[in-house]
Amino acid sequence: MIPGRILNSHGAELAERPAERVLEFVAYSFPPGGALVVGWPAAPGAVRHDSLGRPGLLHFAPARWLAPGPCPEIAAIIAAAEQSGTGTLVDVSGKWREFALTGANAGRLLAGALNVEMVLEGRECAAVTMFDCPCVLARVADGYAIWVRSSFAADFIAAIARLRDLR
Amino acid sequence: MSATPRRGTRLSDATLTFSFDGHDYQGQVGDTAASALLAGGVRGMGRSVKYRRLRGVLAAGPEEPNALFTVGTYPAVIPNVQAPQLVLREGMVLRSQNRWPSLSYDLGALLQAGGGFFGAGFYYKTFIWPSWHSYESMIRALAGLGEAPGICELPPVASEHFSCDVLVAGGGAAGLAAARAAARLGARVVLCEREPVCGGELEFEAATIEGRPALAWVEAALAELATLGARVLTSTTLVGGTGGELVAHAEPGGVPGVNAMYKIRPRTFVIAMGAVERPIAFVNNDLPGVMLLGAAERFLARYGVCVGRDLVLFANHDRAYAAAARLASGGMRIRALVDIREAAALGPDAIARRTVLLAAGVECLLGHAVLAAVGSGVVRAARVAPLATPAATRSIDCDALLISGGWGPAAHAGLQEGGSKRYEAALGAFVATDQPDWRANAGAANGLLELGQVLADGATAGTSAARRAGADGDPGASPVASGDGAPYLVPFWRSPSDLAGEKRQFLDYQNDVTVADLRATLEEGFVDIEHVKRYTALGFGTDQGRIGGLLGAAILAELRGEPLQDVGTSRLRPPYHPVTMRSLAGLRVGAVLRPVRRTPLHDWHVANGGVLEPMDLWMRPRYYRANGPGAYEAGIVEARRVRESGGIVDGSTLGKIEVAGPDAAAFLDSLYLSKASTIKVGRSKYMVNLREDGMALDDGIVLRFAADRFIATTSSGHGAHMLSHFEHYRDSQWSGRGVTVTDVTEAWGVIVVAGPNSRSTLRALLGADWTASLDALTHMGFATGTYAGHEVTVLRASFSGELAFELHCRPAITVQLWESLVAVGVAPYGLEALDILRVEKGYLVSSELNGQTTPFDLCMDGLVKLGNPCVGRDLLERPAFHEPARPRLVGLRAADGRSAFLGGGQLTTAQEPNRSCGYVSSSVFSPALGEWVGLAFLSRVHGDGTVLTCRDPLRGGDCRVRVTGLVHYDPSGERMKL
Repeated sequence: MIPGRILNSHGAELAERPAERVLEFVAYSFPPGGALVVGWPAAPGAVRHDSLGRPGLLHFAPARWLAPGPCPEIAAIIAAAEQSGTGTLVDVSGKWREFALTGANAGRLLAGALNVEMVLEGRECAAVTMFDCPCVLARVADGYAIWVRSSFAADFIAAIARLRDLR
Repeated sequence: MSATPRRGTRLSDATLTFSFDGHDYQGQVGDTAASALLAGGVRGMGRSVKYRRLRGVLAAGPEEPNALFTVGTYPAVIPNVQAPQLVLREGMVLRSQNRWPSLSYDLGALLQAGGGFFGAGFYYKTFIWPSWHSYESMIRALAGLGEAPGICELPPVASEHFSCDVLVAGGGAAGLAAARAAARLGARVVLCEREPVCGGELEFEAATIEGRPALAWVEAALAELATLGARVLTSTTLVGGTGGELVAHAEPGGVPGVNAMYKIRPRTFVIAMGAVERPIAFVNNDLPGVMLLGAAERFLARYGVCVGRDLVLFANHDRAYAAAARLASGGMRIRALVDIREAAALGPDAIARRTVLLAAGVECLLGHAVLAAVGSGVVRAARVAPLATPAATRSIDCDALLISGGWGPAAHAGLQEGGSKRYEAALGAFVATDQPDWRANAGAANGLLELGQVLADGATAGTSAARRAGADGDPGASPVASGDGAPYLVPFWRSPSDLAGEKRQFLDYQNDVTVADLRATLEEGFVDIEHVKRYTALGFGTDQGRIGGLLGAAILAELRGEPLQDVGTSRLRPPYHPVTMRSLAGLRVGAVLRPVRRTPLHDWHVANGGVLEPMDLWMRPRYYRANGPGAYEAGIVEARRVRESGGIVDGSTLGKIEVAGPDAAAFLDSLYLSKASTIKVGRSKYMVNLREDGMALDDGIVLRFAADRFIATTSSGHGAHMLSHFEHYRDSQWSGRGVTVTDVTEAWGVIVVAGPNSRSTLRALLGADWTASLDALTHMGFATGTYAGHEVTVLRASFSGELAFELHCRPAITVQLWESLVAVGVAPYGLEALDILRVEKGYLVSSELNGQTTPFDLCMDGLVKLGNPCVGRDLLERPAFHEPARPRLVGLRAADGRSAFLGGGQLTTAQEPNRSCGYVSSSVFSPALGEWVGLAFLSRVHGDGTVLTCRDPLRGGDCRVRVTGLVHYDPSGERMKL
């Protein structure tokens, strides 16, 4: 059993990534009034990737960024953004559970909840509701990264399993 | 079933068995219920709603109004499934509808005797004396279509959302041509076809396309689409759409099986949904055996079913002649072809075919009409007459009377979200026009009926759609075809009849709307087609006017003496085809009707006997089974234990909103009755906020972690509402200011440790690093630190009246902390005990914050007197909030010190025993006091000590109660000061 793997059949694998420190940065206004560093994902839906190529700073909703397990570089730039008076940094560790949905049928499974192509058209991430669960969805190289509000996570997993059985 | 299997494009030789109304029948794999029953000699397949007239199959598609079946065995039934659409499976159980006790002998058919009285408007006018309710049960029993399913478990229906470049609705000639052209250009194409196979009219039309037989061309087109990556969804009907998203429904036959709801967002959309054949009104045109001509052709081509032995055809166009030839070649005898047109109106194709038919002995009558179908229970003859001399009637024996009044283009999809109608005189029908840029009609849906034109139009529409979607490849040449020619149709709507006969000239079969009904409706003053629809039910039901809508409008136009284009048709609305509630619900069925929120301790509660109940979306333990057989007994045990030694409760469901930034304190000041800005760092405050109208919204504790950082807790049931409230004011009145709002509810698990031993328990658990902090904590103070490497906040606050601490910890260690507390002997308690502890102390439970209570009602005058100008503050001065009789929260106890009284009980005085002066909002049996105590809202005129009667006739009768102060237990609060 691969650690974190929850489902693996019908051409799709759902795995949970280990819990990490997660931060949210919230700007006082949108577009943010303060000076932001070069490479800051300012456009709605933009994502800055960390050195491993993983989503490191996601502009998932207007004036709201998610930093899951921020690497030192990203931790530094969001701390700098807070210090510049642009907004506030909130430690939300435990609020989100991160899942990776990969495989040839990953998109088909998500299509049971929403039109992935439309939602991610011209953007890399978005705040969405999937199977009635609040989520942040991001497209990654091998599928999708999904952050689910942790109180809804069990329902999310159950919905994916239920849908997989119907396909 | 005959020994020789029937041959049809959709049949295999394999057989299957099914039952209809309790009798077993055989069909062939591929059969629909209608085709198999017709092949088995069954003619009557249902009864009409109003008059309970016996009806047979009229159509071969989703427009079928008569043969609606209930599929399955109660409770797992699906009603109103159209028999021609219902593909049979082995063992399927079918039942006819609208009859009792049987289809053959229906008591409701007695209504036919009173048919003359039951015209449009009869119900509205008649069943009002002496009261509607005198008739309600009888009418309800007779009304409606079919039987709703009972409580049962059917497989859920999955949804699929996707985008494409070009969506083509309809897999007939035009749709296939459109899809192929678009796919050849490189567009991503999705084709939806309502039937199990594509082809449409090509299944029976003797046509040649691109040099090969029509069906071979269909196969080649589908193969090419597959090669080009197009997605073809068969048995899938486009039912509606909104905002550019179109909904297609796949529920073959409406029975459990492979079902899906497709929500498709195309860049462009080609409507190639064909045209619906329309009937002609004549007397008794609803007798079983009267069928649309196209339906008879479909049953022959698809299923090898001869719908009769001796046929009379009645039509107003050339296609009837080609159809007659095909039906004759299928083994049926054409007794007569009755054409309302004179010879001059016939096209060259009809002239040639008529000559052949005449030579074969078929009577071909021009300028004639069928005035009536004759028979009892099934058609036996057609009464025909020259239109010029309708009195000169004669009968022609037949066992099937096939009618065709032309075709109405399927305009539904083209008239939703924009679009208008254009009247096509040559068709006598309306075509959707003025389409938005992204949508186009093609083929018969565009008013074209000649095959060559249909294919060319489809190819053009597909090419345009693909180009608009950005594709730029080569569409190839348009298909060249030969097939049925132009119909040379002369619009004709009804045969001559006297007024009595008009009562049996049916327009809407499902709702028994007749020509007489339209005449009566006009006499009532209802002139507009929309009013006529609602007064008569024309176009109601499962077919949504596809059979009778245009026919009714045309006859309304005739009766009004106006052109049809001036009358128009009633608005076409989705869904185009019935969709089961199961499909709409999707995955949200049964236990997953709505999402459930779980705390980090959820699994522990379940594993350790917690009996969970919903609060908002959360599941919380009401009590633990080990403490008693039910909530009442266990709650008493758990509450007593908290007061005696201690207990823990899962408070993770509390809403938590982090408010941060330099303006955070001022922002919170604007939302609460008391000021957050006066809270010192490391302290907290119990605070209450108001709605804009002054009513109490919620209460909670606000903790100040830094000068510019707070966490506001909310009650569990109001978390989402409070977040929305905060965000609304943050975005509308504090936009651009230095404050942010972040939901951190799930970022913190909360364990409440309550009871006299709570401090010592925590000392032992958290270790020496925490001892000084715990000892120094005063009421409403909090300390922060770590436990097992994770942040923990310990807040000293109590909602139980005991010394208590809230542990706010990260979810990663919540279970570990909880289990450590259990391991040292602290037992968990649930909401039942929590309610007991709160009511004993006079704290609000939940029913007191009901949206109808002000801070004054809740005895929070002190908070109001602070004078903080917050949201809702100004409206607290409304006179109505200060009227003497306005209820206010009080304590309540049984006057005899032992009787029970329950929440919801109404309070009355001895002077006015039948007039409520208040009600019990919460009540519990207090193990600490050994009696029932409660909270109540009571008119302010009744002070402490007043004895009232608590009336509760449905549950426990009356009980004498005494008004007390709010706090029943430890009024001085000594136990919290330990």
